[in-house]
Amino acid sequence: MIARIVSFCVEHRWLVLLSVAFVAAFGAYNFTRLPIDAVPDITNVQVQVNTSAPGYSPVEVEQRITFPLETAMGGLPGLDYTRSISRYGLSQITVVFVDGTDIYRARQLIGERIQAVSGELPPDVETAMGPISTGLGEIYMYSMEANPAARKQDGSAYTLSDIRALHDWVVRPQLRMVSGVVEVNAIGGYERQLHIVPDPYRLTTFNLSFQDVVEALEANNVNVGAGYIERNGEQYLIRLPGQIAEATEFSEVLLGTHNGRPIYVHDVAEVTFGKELRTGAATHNGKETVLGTAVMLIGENSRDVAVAIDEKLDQIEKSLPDGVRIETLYDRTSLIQKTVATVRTNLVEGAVLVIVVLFVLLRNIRAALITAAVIPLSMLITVTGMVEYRISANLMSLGAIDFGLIVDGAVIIVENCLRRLSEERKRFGHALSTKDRFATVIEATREVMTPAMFGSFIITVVYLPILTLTGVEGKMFAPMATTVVFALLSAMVLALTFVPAAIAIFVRGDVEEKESPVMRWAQRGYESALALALGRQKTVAVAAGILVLVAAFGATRFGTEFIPRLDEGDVAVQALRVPGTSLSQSVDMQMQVEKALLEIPEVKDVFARTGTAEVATDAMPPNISDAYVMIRPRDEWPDPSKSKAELLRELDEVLATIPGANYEVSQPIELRFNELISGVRSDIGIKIFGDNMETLLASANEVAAVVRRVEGASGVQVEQVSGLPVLSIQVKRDAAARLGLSISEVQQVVQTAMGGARAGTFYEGDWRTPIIVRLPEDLRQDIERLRELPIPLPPEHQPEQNLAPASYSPFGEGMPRIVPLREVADIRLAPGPNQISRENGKRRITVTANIRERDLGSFVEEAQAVVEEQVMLPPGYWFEWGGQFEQLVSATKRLSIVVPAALVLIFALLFASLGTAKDALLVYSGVPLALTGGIAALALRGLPLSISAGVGFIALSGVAVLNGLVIISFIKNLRARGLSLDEAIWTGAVTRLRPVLMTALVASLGFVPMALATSAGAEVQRPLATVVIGGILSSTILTLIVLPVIYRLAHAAEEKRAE
Amino acid sequence: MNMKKRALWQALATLLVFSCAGYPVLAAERDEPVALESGSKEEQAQHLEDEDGQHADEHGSEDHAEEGGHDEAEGHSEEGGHDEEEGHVVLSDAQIEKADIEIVEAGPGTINPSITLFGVIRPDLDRLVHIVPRFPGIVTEVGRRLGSSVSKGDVLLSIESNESMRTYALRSPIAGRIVQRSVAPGQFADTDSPLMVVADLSTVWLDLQVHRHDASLVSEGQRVTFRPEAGASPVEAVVDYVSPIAAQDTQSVLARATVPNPEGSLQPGLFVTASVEQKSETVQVVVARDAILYEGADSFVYVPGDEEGSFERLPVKIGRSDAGAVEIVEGLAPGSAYVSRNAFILKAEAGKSAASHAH
Repeated sequence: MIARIVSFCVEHRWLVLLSVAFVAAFGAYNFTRLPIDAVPDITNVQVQVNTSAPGYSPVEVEQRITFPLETAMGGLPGLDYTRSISRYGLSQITVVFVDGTDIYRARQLIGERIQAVSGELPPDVETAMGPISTGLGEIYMYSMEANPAARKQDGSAYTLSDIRALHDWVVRPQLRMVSGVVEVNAIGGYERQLHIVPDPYRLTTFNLSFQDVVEALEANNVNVGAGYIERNGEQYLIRLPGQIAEATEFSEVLLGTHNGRPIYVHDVAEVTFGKELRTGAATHNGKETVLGTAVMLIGENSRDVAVAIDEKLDQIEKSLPDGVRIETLYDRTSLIQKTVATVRTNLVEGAVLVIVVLFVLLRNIRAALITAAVIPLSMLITVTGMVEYRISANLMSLGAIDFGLIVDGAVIIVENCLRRLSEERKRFGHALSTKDRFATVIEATREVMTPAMFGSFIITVVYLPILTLTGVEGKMFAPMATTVVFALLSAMVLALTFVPAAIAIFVRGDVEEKESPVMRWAQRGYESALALALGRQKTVAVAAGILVLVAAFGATRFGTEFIPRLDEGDVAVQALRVPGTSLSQSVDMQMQVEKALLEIPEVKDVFARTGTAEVATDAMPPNISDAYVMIRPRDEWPDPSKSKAELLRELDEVLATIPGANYEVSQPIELRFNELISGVRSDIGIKIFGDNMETLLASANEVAAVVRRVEGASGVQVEQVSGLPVLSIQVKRDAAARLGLSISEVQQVVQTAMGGARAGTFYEGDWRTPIIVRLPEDLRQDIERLRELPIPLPPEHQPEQNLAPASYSPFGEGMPRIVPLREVADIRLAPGPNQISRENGKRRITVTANIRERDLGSFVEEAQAVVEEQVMLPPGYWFEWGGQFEQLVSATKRLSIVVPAALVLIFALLFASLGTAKDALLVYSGVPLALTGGIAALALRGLPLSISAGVGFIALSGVAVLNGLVIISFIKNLRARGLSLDEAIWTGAVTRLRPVLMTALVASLGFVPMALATSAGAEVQRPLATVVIGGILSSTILTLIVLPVIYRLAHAAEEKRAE
Repeated sequence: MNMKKRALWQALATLLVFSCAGYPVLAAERDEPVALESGSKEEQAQHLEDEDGQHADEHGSEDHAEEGGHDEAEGHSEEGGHDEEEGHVVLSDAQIEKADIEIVEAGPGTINPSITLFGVIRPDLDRLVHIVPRFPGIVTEVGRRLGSSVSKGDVLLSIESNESMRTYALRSPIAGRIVQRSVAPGQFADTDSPLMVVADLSTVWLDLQVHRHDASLVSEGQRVTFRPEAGASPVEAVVDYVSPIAAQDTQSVLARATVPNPEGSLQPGLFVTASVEQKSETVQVVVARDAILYEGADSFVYVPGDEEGSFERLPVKIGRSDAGAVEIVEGLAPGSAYVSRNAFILKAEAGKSAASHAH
């Protein structure tokens, strides 16, 4: 069948070329549609439900917001699990769906559920879903700053609040209109608020309460429409404007009357613009700033969106007041450009190397060009496949493609065609006729197409186990395997169709095999080596066996690294401080960190978010800062040859000098992924579920103590749930009651005083400023002042006449009826819950542990037994064991079934192609021989075993099998033609020297730039390339020398029998 | 020959097993032995593999522990956070300098405690006169306007008595200002209500509201300080009267100070917040207010430890305090060094291992 396809292709060669051109054009079109990202997206399908509840403490947030919302999420279709945290002022529920769930449908369902429970939630909270985005969504960050000399219209300098207002009302609305941007998140500065600051003493002399002020403001700031009136055929709309246009007008709002005199706001309060009580701040190079983050919609092309944002910001900047500027701090484009550059380098260098190698060995430029053409063509077909399967182009999916490897099939076919054509030329003694040429091409292709095809199939099969990985590993590596398979299969199809057709068209005229001097020299060397080896067969076989054993032993001694770290270029430093650290303290400490980091010459910019941004995509408490350290391009470094690892070490040293925080160094995208996926990052996580926080904590401490004693446990930690300093103001019921105060009156005064009460919105065009009623700054500064907070007593009831002496008041008229807070409340400092974590609707605390010098399986077993035995949980509490080990166990289990299955399948393929089990096994023997070289190369460069090295080994097995297959099937053919065993082996091996050398050189040279690479994606490519280069070197030598020897050993008996 | 053939087969099978073994090694992050399910019949080969697997465990994880920077960090946090005494911190000189930590000696000092009270300025009733007609009659002339300054003996108004039909003058018995006037010419003036109030505002009263918890802390003779307005210079006075009777509605007691008011800037009716100084006390050990840190309700200070750059947490009991200083009743000996500035950094450093970012 395939033979017929080859003949068809040669006969209809122009048609084939045309189709190939069409497919290529389609691929080129698809390339413009191909989403390009720096790294694969490993986010699960999740929806965040954020509720901001200003002033609510963690316990209240959990009780009144998280619980009803979380319960409502139960039973959603496709629901995997829910987890939640309740923190000061914020409830965040993360609803995770099984992979493959449609995010829009999931969000719609969640929206319905939120609607259904909104009645149960407190009225003053706002619930919203997080942006429709993934871990790759934060593609653009910028800061807004004003020149110190810049002045506002009124002549004063710009404050952070002004900048923030400009951002919120000028920059943000425009940026949100950019297609593909789902959210623009601002942090830093202060949201501008209009503050109405009543003097509580004056309020109470007029018998007014805070509530009266709030109500009066709300009632005097509304526009009302009242239908219309018709007159003389015209229609007049009726409008009753009441909205306040100038901030000063708020002073004129009437609050009530006292003794017949009207009381206005200005009689009791001051009206000023002020700052919010903020939950987050932003810093840039040691100064406070306003930081904007543009978040990309899920499934968009970050390349396009980032560019569009950049253009839009340029345009917006022009419309900003003089002296206010926008500085781009982080732009995903640069990382994407690096990705594109990497891919381009792969393509170009691969093509150049293929052309050079083929030309040197074949001395035929046309044949070399034809083979090289397979590279871009198969790439374009792969792109089409990627677009169809929604795989984004990134360092992972494209990083593993080596075009030298991929064109192996084509190389073999071209080489054979050329050899046969020149042989025929020699045989005929003159140039071939077109017909003969075509026949020769068809014949030559058929001769080697089986091994070439099977080789590709086999490489495809070895990639299959990777496709079965699930979870994060699956999301990371499956696209890579799919892409490689696409590339392999398309190259194979091209080798069988395009290559013969192109040879038929372009390689005409006098094809003479010009012995290249390189080839001649290689051939001579090989012949003597082979003769030597065949003379000492047993020694060679045993030596090979020993080599394999040594390598296998060596392989077990490698350090391992499951998931490679893709170098994003920039660095993220998360500073973790003790719970309870105040925002301003955190910001101060963070600025110090930034100033210190800036002293490293390679660092260009440092900026950080501390606390929670306005859209709480990441619910960080104020004690945590996420800093982004932007690294200069390498050519601006004082020492451009300095390694990234060295730079990171310097960074660590600098950080170590700044006390007060734990620093975790990662990378921007990586950090975001960690925050979103947020499983247990340690080896083992023991989750304890239950109701009472204290019981949970006690149990967790018990578990931790028990686990710590288990051999191999290290870094056992209990989740930090407490330690948030809470100032608890407990109203004394009797004291309050005697004064005629209700608990809520006291609570309300304190709330208004400290947090402020919202009293509508002040509109100035598009600008909206919240109106907040709160107490003067000097009354809310510290704990001492809080104790003195004046609580107005309710309006006086008419004093009874004929008073008993006890009720005589020593005070005359005019003394306000006020008590300080301490008279009616106990104020205590007590640690409270820092945050409350829940999972699947139940409170949860996690004990995490890592394991050293012991295998995971037995550790978990022992720990489980010990914990079950020694820790008694109260009824209604239970354990769950999780952590990385779960994934490891499941991945190992899956692979231990799939890998042998794949090996059997390869064997079956070999068997099908060679016809005997013995020969199949012989070819198989090339695999361990090839692996030895890979292992040696890894060891030489000191690289750990990683998935990416594993992919190298996989590719290597394919090449080794391919080489072996080519030689063995050739020898078999020769024997079938009647040559003796020794003759067949000799002729076969020597004849196949050239193609074997060619494929080996093409594949290994193609990887040399990658093996030395330092550019983006190098960490994926380096181990892969190292393994392949080392492996191909060993595999080529061993295939050429050991394989004939083993073949002769294996077939000697039957030869004897035949004699 | 047969022997040779079998040996060859064995060798090949061994190779096959190794090629299988390559996979689990790649797949597993850690080097636990993975049970191989590929059907190898060669016991010998299987045995070899198992041994290797175990070797792998020991060496692999050793390497891991030695090399991984992350591991080191974790190990460190374990030492610092759990096993050793809570709150122990060691800082390098550079860190101490960056953190701007200041160490001073705790010693005897004075505490000047005070309590804050709310008050209102009122006229001094000892220097206030109600002008009441002696005889009922018709007001014929009002000589002075509201707010006018009058001297002692000045005629304020004239009334034609209904009884004698004679006009008599009402004079001011004191020097002061007319603060109230409820009279107009032609009006009938009766003897039961004042027509004018003359007040001498050169001294005024500061009436303070003393709530019941503070009642025992305020007594006559104490000094009281207040600022008439924010930013104004403080005014001093002495409490000269504490009411023996409390007000029922606000559950408070009146304390009064007489305040000189030479410029008249203290206008009766103004609210003020005043602080009443308590007896200042000299105590054995005083530390700066910023030195005190809290863990829940427990207070502690940081003191330098024995080693260079180390600091220990020292639980203390706090006594009286004023705006800047705090008395240490227990826990800190006089003359011992303590961290007076940026002690929080030390608390943060000690607690940082516990800091995490869970979601």
